[in-house]
Amino acid sequence: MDDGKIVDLYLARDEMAIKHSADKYGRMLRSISYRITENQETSEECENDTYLEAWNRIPPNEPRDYLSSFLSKIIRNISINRCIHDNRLKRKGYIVELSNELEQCLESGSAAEEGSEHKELASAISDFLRGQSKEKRIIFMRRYFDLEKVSSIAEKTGYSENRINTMLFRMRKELKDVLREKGLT
Amino acid sequence: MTSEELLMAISEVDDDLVAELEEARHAKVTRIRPGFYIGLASSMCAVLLALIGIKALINYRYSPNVELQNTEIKSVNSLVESALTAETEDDVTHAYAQAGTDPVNRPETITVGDKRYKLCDSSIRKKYGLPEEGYRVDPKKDLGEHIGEVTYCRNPDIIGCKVFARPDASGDDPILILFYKELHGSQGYYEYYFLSFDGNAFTDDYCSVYEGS
Repeated sequence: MDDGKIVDLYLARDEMAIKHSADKYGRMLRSISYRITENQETSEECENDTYLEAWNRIPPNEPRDYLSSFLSKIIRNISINRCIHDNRLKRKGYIVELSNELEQCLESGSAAEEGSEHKELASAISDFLRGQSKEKRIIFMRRYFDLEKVSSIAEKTGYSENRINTMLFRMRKELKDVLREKGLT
Repeated sequence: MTSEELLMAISEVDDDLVAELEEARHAKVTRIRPGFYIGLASSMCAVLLALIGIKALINYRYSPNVELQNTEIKSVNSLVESALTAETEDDVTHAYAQAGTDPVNRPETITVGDKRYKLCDSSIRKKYGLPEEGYRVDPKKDLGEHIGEVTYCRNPDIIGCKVFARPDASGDDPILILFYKELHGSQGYYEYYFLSFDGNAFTDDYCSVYEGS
């Protein structure tokens, strides 16, 4: 079914919206969640939570042209939260590792207000990524959006792990400068 | 702000970036590892070296030096024969040069045109009044009227001769080989004159040149 029609079903509060979403994007969503949680059962729970979240967010959102990425973002956040707060998941350590990497983008002893608007921050990150080459942009997104391992990225891009690490290190450094200039850290 | 918040904030990046990532997820990996290039370059170098080696081997196998070495192991007589049956002066010169033999003492057999000759014994020489084997010929005294043909050559200084005759029934046609030598410093210069004898007179002359030390 067309994304626009699925969104219309959400807007009409028709539960068939969830069924059609699951038919069209269920596999992709489980895949994203599994990459983050590395747990089949949890990824299925996250998928269901995603449909619920989408049900709550539409309306006011009407993602007719970007339903796929809309759902992807929701399940990503839900999955990361599960990893952080569910002690049964061994992926917590991995999330901490990634967080530590991203910490390099922040000023030490950051005076920025806690709870800075995520959207403002996301907008700055989006602008920063658009300034990068497509290749670098995708590597950054694989690492910090998909939470993919460096070894996996290296395998998919054909670069060595050292090179991927170096590229990510330089981008984090550049991102730190961008965020500092915008007063977001 | 915490790093975890930053990690969560990345979820809110613009949709086109997420869509680009989704596209990349499904794209095939086309990049080839550097190791592949290194392996390919190594293989090409190995093939190139092998080709160079084979070419060098072929060049050596068929080089003039090797041909000369191969020629040298042939019997001296056959080489001299080939020299004497050669059609051109250059061929004869080349053949003798390869033989590297003493021009005065050899050959024992010769072929002139389609006729084959063997070194004749003294009776034939005496019968026709030809010079003795290895005798230092005085062209004017020993060859009489035929000296005109001999002296046509560049150097009439004969240092020796050999007489050959056909060994078959019509063996009455001996030929005479005269050896000439001209010295240029330490280098010797030889000329051969093959005169065929039809029983009454020398009718043909045949000249070849040998140069050597």
